[in-house]
Amino acid sequence: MTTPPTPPTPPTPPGGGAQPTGGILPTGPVPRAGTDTNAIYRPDYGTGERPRPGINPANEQTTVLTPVPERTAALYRIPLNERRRWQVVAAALGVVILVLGGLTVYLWTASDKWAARSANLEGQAYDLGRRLSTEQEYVVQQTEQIDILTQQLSTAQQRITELADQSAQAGDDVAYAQQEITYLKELVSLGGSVSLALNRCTNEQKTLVDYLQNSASYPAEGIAQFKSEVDALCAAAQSANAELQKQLAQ
Amino acid sequence: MRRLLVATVALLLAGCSSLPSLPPPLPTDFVPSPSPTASDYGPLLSPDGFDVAQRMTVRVRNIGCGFLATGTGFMIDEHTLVTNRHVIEDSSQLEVSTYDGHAVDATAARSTTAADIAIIRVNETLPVAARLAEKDPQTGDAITVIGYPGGGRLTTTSGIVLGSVQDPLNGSVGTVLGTTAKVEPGSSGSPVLNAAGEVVGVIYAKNDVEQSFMIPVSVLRQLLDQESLLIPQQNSC
Repeated sequence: MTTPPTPPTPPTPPGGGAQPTGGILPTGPVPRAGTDTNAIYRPDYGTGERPRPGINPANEQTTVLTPVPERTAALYRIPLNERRRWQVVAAALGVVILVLGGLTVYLWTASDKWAARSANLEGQAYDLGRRLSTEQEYVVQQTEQIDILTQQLSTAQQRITELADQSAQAGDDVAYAQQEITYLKELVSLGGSVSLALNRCTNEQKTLVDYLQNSASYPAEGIAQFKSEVDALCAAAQSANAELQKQLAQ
Repeated sequence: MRRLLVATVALLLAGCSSLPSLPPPLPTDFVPSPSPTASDYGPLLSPDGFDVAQRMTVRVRNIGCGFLATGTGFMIDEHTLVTNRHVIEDSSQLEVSTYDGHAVDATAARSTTAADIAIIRVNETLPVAARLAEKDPQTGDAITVIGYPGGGRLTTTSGIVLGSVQDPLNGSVGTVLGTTAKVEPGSSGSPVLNAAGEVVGVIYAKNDVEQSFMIPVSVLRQLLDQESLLIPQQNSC
């Protein structure tokens, strides 16, 4: 172990610029032990070894010390591994900031577009609502018209049914009348036949009366036979007349 | 440190996947186009609003020898209708009229002794025909009877099937079905419809307690399948 020298002079950054200040981190080489009489020798933190107070380190192990200028920047006092760690952290933070920035822009854009979409949809919803209201009003009007038409249709159907019934009844009446006419025609025909038979009966009876008044001129058997025929004829005529009267009475 | 970077990148990717997406393009029209479908009532209703059951049911006028009688029938095809045998008995002329008063002349009639069923043929083409059910109705089934009771207006009545009974008139082979539907003279030959509008029987009689009797559709089907059982009706005058 060597005796610490006098306070060192800060190293000149590469390129010969001004002395580093604050947060600007120099990247120049760290002075080595033995090359700078003003260097302060400290254990290399990279080895993890620290001098323990009250113990002579020489008795335990020999430690290679890295000279650190007394007046160097705080960054250069940080061991190399830790510095790299901070650099990575800083880079990661930068990436995170970039990502967050991108996200912010994206979310801002998405929010704007969704807001525009919402406004558009709201407008269309109001438009559809107005159209729906108009259609509902139209449906109500059409429903009323349908009710009226249904009533009219029902009335028309009833009327058709009534007319069909009247037509059918008229057809029945016509058929019945035709049957009556046919029947009356038969009666008239029967009446004519009866009348003819009765007239013939009357005429034959007159002839018979003449025969009887001049009976001396005719044979008795002939008159009797003629009388028999006249009686049969008149009986048939009277029978037909009775049947006619019976049918007329129905 | 590397793990931290990997974890960070993974976290960022996972976060990106859960980011809200931008709104998709709006549809041009929010109102769906109507899909016109054929009305279920199309084939069932005529333009004048009468249904198939009313249009297929006809009024039968029997101009007999010195008498006039009316009954009911129903179309089973364009030129054939079914009624009761006793509706057309002793006829000299048969006339058919439809629900709207249209008169149609019958050209021929056939009947059978196996049941009170008769078949009438007409020259004119009638627009609708009945659908015969595949099976007879069961006890308790709801039925509808359409006919011309008393020779009057086209009338619809309803009731339920009471069950199989022997023919009270002893004019049919096998059993017939009793119903609670009220009918009158003139309703003979009326079609009995089930809930689906299919013909399940033919009305032919009633009793004093306002129960009606019908020939089941199975018997009608057998008769239609065996035309030899149908004998031409002669003019009795």
